[in-house]
Amino acid sequence: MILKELKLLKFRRYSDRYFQFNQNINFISGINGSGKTSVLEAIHYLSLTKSFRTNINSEAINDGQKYFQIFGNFLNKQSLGLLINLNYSRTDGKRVIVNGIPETRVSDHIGKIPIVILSPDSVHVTDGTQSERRSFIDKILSQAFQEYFVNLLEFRRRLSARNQTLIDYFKKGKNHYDAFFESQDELLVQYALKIHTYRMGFQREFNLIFQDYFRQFSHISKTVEFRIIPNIEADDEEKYEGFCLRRLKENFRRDLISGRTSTGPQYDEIKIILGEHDIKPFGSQGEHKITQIALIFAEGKYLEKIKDEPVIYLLDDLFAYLDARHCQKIVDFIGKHNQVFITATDVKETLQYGFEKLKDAMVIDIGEGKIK
Amino acid sequence: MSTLPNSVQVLIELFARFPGIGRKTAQRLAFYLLKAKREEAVALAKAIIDVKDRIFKCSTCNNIAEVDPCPICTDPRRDHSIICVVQEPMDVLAIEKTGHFRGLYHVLGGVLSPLNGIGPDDLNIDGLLQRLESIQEVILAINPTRDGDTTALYLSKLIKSRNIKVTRIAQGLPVGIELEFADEMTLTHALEGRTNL
Repeated sequence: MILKELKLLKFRRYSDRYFQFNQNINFISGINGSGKTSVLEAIHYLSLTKSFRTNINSEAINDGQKYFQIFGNFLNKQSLGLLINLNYSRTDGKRVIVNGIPETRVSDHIGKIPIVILSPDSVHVTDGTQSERRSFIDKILSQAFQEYFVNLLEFRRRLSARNQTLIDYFKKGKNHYDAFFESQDELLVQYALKIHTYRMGFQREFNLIFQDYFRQFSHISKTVEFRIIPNIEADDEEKYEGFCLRRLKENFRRDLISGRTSTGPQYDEIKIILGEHDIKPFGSQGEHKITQIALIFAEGKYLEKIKDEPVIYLLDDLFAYLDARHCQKIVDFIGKHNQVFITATDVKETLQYGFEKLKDAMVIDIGEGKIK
Repeated sequence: MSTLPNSVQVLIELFARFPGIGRKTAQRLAFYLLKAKREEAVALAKAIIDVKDRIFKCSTCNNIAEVDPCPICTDPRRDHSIICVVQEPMDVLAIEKTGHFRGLYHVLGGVLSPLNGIGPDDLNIDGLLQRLESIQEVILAINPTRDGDTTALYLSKLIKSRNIKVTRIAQGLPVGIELEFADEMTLTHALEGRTNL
């Protein structure tokens, strides 16, 4: 997938701005606060219908305005155009229109424009909380498989309904695992099983790609593994529902007090094992960075394999993140096959790294409004 | 708006509270009444008052009625060994229109919805359980939604424990639809619920 043109209306600091992009490498340069990351954010919106910086859409509206609009003109592998328009207004909410036809459900849209993002927030896969690590897999699988995304949403809604019931029962002094919980749990575990099955399948396939990239990028001779430790351990998937139901019932009293369901894929753990140890406490700074980069590219490769469509890479502030030599190697590596967007604070600094020598690179200087 | 006489404004305001009625439609309804004959407006006002004064819920099935028990519950020609459980009185109307069900009804008054603060105690479930004595089959005609599914499963557990047959109406394709236009969920249900020919 390639983004040819982008138009932003009343979005962040842009009241009306038009961009044209190169099909390979695009450097978005400008001083701090000039709106570089907003360009990546807009592309993220068009792909995943949300921001990676905030959960509050109205924050992305230009000061004092009532709405924002993003238009993107994409071209897929078969050279078919995809005109995506995302509107958000304070009163009417969000709407996505593809080639003139409104999308009825978000789940129909996710995955049409496969993207991978590297941002200061996305690096928490190796050093962040478990919930940040789970969102890494959820984001990939939701783009890769519509069924996963639909299941995940349904699972979350059912889970919050169960948690609310726990709170209600606790307030009323009811402390028996009754038919109401039984019914909720029997339905909940069906969705839990689907999530579990997808995640386990993902682990198998993803690891091969990840390990391959890790070897290419690093000189570290240790082995690496992306490991999911499921909250419910079942050696075969047929037993999963039964195990899960039993644990839900066993932990009922405890859950009643905490008002939270402590069993299920919402507590799956993710560990990255370098050598023999968990990278989070034991990895060096350099090992973390290389691992994160390898993860990001493995994510892209995996998505490409499933979607059969080149992904778009959004690399926010790559230079603050890696040294120039590594950056150049990486950009060169992906820029040959994929469209890449990279933000950088200073265009001069960027060029100093020798990037202008890269063929097919385009520098978009936002600060001065000039396009080179 | 402020140029309108107060009584018209109040009328528009009240119409706008109706389900499915927006501001514009509310205005049209109000102006329609302004133009209409006095008798028509009075008839409407009377109908509204009648509905509030004369209609109450049947103490047996919880359906709306003017007499208690309602005509369906007391009809000797109906099959009193089979109950169809529905969410709302409107659902009774929908099933009656088919003319294919001759049993009794039971109106729950909603579905279990913890996120909206509706638990088993908030629905007319006890009333249903008390009616089960001479019942042979309970048909659950509950909407195939998230909360509807939970409710159906919950009721089936309570009813089955009394050794009474429980069925749920089929889920799948509407009549006359073309397959390619059906969404994945509906088709999945239709495949799962396929029948022998």
